[in-house]
Amino acid sequence: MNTVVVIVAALVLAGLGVRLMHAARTEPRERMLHTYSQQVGLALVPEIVPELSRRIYRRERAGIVGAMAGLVVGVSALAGLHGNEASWNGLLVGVTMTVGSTTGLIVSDSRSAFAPVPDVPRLARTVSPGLADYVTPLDRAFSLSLLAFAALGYVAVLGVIAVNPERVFDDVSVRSILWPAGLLLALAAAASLLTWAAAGRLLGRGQPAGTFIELAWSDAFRSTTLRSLVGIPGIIAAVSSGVLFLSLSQAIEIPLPGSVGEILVDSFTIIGPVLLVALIGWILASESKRSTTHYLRRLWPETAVELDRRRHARGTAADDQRDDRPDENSRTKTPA
Amino acid sequence: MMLLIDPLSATPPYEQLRVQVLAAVHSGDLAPGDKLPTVRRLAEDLGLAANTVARAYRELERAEVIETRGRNGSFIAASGSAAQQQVQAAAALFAGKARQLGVAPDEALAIARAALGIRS
Repeated sequence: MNTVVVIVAALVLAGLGVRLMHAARTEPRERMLHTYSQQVGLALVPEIVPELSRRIYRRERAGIVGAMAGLVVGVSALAGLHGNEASWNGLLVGVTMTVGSTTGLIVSDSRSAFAPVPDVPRLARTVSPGLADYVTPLDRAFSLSLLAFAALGYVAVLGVIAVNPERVFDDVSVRSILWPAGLLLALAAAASLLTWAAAGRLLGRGQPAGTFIELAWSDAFRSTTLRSLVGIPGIIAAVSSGVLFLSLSQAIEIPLPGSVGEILVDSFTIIGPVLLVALIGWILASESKRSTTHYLRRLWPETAVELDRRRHARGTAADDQRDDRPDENSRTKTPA
Repeated sequence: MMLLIDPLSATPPYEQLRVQVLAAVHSGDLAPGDKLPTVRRLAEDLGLAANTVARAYRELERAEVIETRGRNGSFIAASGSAAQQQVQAAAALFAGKARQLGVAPDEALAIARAALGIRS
């Protein structure tokens, strides 16, 4: 395996370790809490700040430890499985880190359902929220679209290899190119089933709360975790396609100008980066206010309206007004 | 709609739960066909033992306020005369179809009013 990958992995591991220690301090926790509060559009009520701060730290710790475990697993897998110096090694490690981090968040959120509740009045919804209340349809659709695209792309490449136009694949070790991408595609398909099951399990977990604001914060955490979870199959699928097309474009000999081989190489060279750019764009879009406050519009519409009013008072762009309108199908009418 | 349980109240938690679900059905906050949370989910939400929630559900089922449909969970039962029950079931189907088609509640209500011949 490339020693550069090992060195970079060791540096990232050390960086995550430093971040873990840093997050344990009071000041960074407060900053994290304020940033998260703005992101999810909920107020910080003094009575619950200590508990929120602890919970934010537990989530951050779980996410970082998960990412560290993912990094170790990813690098070990690269060393054990093929040991080559492929240019996409970093992408694979990125995937295992994302999966590890999200797994950490799920464990942290699931455990919060069993947090001891003091002897105070407790509230619960009569109708349990579903995935659609926490994750936007766009987020769900995009992840599955990437999976479908990756599957179609793989089948198309198999077809092109079978046809072997102008014998461009004669000198290419097709198997060594197809199996890593195929394995990732199979993992993406398995991940879509696993994440669906994990989302169901998480949604079935309770949300102990004594006040509306506690319940709203619980919704905010759940929304963040579910958005990460839903994205995993799409991320693995996009990386699978990226690996496939990047490997193919590198493996085919530079063909004659104007030949079918040149068209193939150009196509393979373009598709990989385009997919990765789409993936990055999607990840950024899923961090937009529309996604991070989707649960408010569905479950706490009055709070969403209030948030909208505050944003406009601060001079936020007028375009947000339409986007942040509460959904007609929202489940509660109670302000958080 | 929210359920509120006070563990320090003299009324047992299962009774608080039963009374609140009953009141929500009577006030129309819970309509026939509405799905209730699972026993386990509600127990975790309210910090109660699963048996406590199960007991409240059993009492409500005995009073024919809710019905359990096997593994699908517990639902608010249709109530009143046979005619009312049929209309409630039809309304639940109508609401489900409107949601499925993405028709807003106000628009769906307007369609229902027009079908009933109510002119506003």
